[in-house]
Amino acid sequence: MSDIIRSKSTVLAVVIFSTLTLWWLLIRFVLPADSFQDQLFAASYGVMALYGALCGFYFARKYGFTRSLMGKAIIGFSLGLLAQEFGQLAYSYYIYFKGIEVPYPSIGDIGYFGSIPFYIYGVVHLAEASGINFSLKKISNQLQAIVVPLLLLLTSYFIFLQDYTFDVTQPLTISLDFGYPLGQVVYVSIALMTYMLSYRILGGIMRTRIFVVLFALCVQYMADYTFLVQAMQEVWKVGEINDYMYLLSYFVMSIALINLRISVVRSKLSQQT
Amino acid sequence: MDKLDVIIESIVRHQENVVGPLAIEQANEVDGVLVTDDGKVRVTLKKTSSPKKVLESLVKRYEMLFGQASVEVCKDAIKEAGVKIDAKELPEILS
Repeated sequence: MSDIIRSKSTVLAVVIFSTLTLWWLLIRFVLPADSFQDQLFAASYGVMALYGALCGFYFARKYGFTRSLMGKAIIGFSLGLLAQEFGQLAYSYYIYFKGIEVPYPSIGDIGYFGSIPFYIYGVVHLAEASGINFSLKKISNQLQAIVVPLLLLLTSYFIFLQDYTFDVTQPLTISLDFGYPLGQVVYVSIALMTYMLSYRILGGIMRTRIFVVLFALCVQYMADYTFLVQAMQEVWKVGEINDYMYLLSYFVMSIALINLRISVVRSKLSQQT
Repeated sequence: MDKLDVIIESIVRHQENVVGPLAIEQANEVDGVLVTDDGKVRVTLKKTSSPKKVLESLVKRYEMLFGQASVEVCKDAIKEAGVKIDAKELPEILS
């Protein structure tokens, strides 16, 4: 029975993702161009993030919630997904109920920007559980841990902020303009560092599962990066490829969290003994 | 409290910090080890067993979860247990 319930969570994630994918394909390639459909899709696909977050909270309890590193990591990613969904809903509220162009910054940025510290919280604890503190005892690894994030931060700065024009009357806008690209680099660089530094030390049942979570963070970063580039070039449009990239990232993270559920870990352990 | 009990308790607590209640569950799967929900450890050695063997079984159990990362957690736990133990008393996996 429990096996059916376990597989049900994966099946449901696949069903939600497939349905939304089919809808997006219809809007993009079959149905005549309709901005209402685009906006409706953009307002709806966050349900994937919501589902992933709920799964995460449910599975985190078996890890003792915040009483263990794995529990903290799963809660961090779940809160990140929830924050993304909040951002989606807030943006939709402006479009549908207020009928106005979404202002920047707006309440939706609480969700979008808020997801960054949650992802950082999650990946830091995942890194610790993966044993990177043992790898960091080597000086070469310590150097790697400084150089790689620094390079990524500098790259992000030169891509997005090099020619930034400061308007000191808008301190919140300035904070977000810097906070988005730099904050997103922080979570993805910790994810990359975790992969690089735990590659030799991390094994067992959790190895692949943890690497899938790190991959999910990279997919999320690709969506965030594409958004920033398209917004900078003023070519971003609702319901287009970037929204689909976000849907994909929520799906991958949902699957990654479902894969960490303790019942599967337990059954894998019993298979090995 | 026996030296072995102290070491195992420290290992279980450190593993609990990583995976939560699963650490206690796994320890209880090891023959001769009983961990209560409040983390208290009681080791009952069989005639055919030895402290070294029990310790090895426990560490191998955790190794299945995170590989060498779990073994390193166990090594740290032994250091922090505050018990003097000769390297010869430890299984090879912990050397």
